[in-house]
Amino acid sequence: MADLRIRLQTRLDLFLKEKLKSSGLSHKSTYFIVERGFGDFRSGRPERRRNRKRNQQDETRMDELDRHIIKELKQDGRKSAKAIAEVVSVSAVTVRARIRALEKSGQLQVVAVTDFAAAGYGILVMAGVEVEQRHPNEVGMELAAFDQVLAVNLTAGAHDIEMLIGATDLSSLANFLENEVGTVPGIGRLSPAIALEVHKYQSETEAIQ
Amino acid sequence: MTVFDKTDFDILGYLTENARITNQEIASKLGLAEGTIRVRIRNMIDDKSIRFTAITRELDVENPTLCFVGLRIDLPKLTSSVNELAQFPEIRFVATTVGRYDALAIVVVDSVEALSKLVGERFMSIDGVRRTYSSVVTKTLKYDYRWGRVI
Repeated sequence: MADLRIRLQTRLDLFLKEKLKSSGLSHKSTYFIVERGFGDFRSGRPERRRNRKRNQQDETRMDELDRHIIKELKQDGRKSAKAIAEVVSVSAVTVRARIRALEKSGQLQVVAVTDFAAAGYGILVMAGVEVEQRHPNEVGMELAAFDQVLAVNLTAGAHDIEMLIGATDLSSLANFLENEVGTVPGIGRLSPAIALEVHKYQSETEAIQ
Repeated sequence: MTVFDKTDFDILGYLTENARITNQEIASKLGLAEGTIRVRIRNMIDDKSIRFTAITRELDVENPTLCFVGLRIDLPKLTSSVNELAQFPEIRFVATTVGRYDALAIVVVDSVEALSKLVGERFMSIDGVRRTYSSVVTKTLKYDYRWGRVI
């Protein structure tokens, strides 16, 4: 199982690396998947971005129809244009055109999300990090470089960093904490919480950057 | 739970990048029958190994503030409290945990005042919730959309 997960990860990472290279973002880390998704949109000077047009409209503006289509896609990303068209009361041709335009302007990406368990991560740990004598941003960047670290946020509060770690089992978690996380300077204290049961998970929060 | 084989991974490789790709397109790229692709995707969806969703730059909240809220909860009321928490639209993620908290929630609000109201009034009025610990996210360094919990 672990081998399979690593194979998927490697395959996807290679794919992403190629994409990064072709989009001129290769100097940014491969690990910032979010950057890749919206790289075209973020890169370039603001004036140039402003000049790009979508249907004579500021590309950062979505209208009600766009939002309605996106709402349907959030529930089922593979819902057919025809089925979406019926819900939003326009033609399937319009739905397809809107989705294409949103994707092209970097405002929308429709993706498959693989379950942690199916991907081989039997254990999820939400760890708070207290950083000592170092800028939390630097420590966070080093932590983000680990494949097993699935998310990293800088926070103001009890901890300086909140991160999500995926592990196949407890022994691999122990190994990861000791031999990988343990080598990052500046980690004063790690306060982990192991997830028992996830009651709710919405994956659109990554839009916040 | 599906144990993915090589073909499943090949199919997922395309879908992770763009879920709107047609089964026929995947089939021709992999040199397989369209029916094979359709059945495999159906199986992965049915046992909740994958789901398809939309990722956007724009959230449904203006000036979104992302916060981590740890909760200490009376253990006999843990499941009922967390089920109640999961109903809040502001909560995007909630799990019961063992360790520093009894449950951890990720919330999105439009202001720090809204956080105070949500956590101080509404969370505290849930039967079983004893104390909350909030941290406000100042910067997201990494989020990998490829993995999630399919519920």
